[in-house]
Amino acid sequence: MRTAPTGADLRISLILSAAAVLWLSTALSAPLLQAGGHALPALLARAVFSPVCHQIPGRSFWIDGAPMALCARCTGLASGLLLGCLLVASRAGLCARRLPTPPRAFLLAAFAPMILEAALEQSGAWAGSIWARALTGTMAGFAIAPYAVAATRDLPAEAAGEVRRLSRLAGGRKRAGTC
Amino acid sequence: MREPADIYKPALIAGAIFGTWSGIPILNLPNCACCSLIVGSGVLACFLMVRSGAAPVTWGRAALAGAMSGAIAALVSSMTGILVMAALGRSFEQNLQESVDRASQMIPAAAEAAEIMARIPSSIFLIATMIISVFIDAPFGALGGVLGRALFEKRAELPPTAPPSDVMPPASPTEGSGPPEGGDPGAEDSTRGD
Repeated sequence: MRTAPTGADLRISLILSAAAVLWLSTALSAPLLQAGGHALPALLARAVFSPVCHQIPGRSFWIDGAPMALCARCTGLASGLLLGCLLVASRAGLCARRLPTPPRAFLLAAFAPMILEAALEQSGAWAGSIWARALTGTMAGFAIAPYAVAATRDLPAEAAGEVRRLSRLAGGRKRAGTC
Repeated sequence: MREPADIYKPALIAGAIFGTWSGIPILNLPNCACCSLIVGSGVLACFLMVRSGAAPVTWGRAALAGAMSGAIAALVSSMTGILVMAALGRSFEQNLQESVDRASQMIPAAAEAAEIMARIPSSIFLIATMIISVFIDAPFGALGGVLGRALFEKRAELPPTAPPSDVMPPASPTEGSGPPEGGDPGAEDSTRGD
């Protein structure tokens, strides 16, 4: 019999929540370290996020006189993921079965405000605001959570299956070579 | 039962396309928005897997292909960046100085950090950057794969290809009489219909 182990969704959503907390607290640490006079660790914290975020000061939340290491939209995405994972965790705690993933329309509806806001801003039709960016990012991040939990749950089994398939293939080739 | 979709070819194609795109200055600007191009490589990899017509793509398989395409895109992007820099006649040090100047606007210790970084040989710095970018881009690619699975896969999901070891049935005393590999496909009904 092959059913998902009870508590797997709960465990995975809590792990993903912890990762989101770590991500957000590292972004938050940059201005706090800078304000505390620890310039090099602050720079290191910013360097961590520089490949994934533009970090434009005017588009970031400011804390203690310095911008966060993530822009408002990326902060919103991570916060939304955290909220979504906590919601999945609470649902998984109540339900012993594997949680179903929401339909595609849910994902599209959650991403639409962020895409629309970014398009209006880029076209110059709307000046945009830091809170709008954060809020639309939060909605998108929240929507990703159930899919991220489902993928993380299946990933180890898929990776193990792929390794076995490759070793079977390699074994078959070796046997064919010796015959 | 149909074989699961191949992940290597789609990951290679998507990683090569989006990696090259990410390595070209100005054109790579979308990457500033939460690694959009890397996420895009995962979406494309998953789309190619779904279109290949093999068995339905599972969430885990989509994430695996996405992660692979993200890692490939990171390597291709780094190499394209080096080639573009060479074609434009710019040195790695010049690029680093520009980055430091930008960082100086936000944080006063950037120049101090640049002095420390200048002591590291360029080749080691490049290799380290490449390795770090693989570790950063793989999760974003996986996220793209998951988004691609949510957007493009309309068929019912099959169970993952290998059962986790903690739910394997106990070994049977009679060799070869155990249940077939892959288990009972009907056990996953709760995930269907999405």
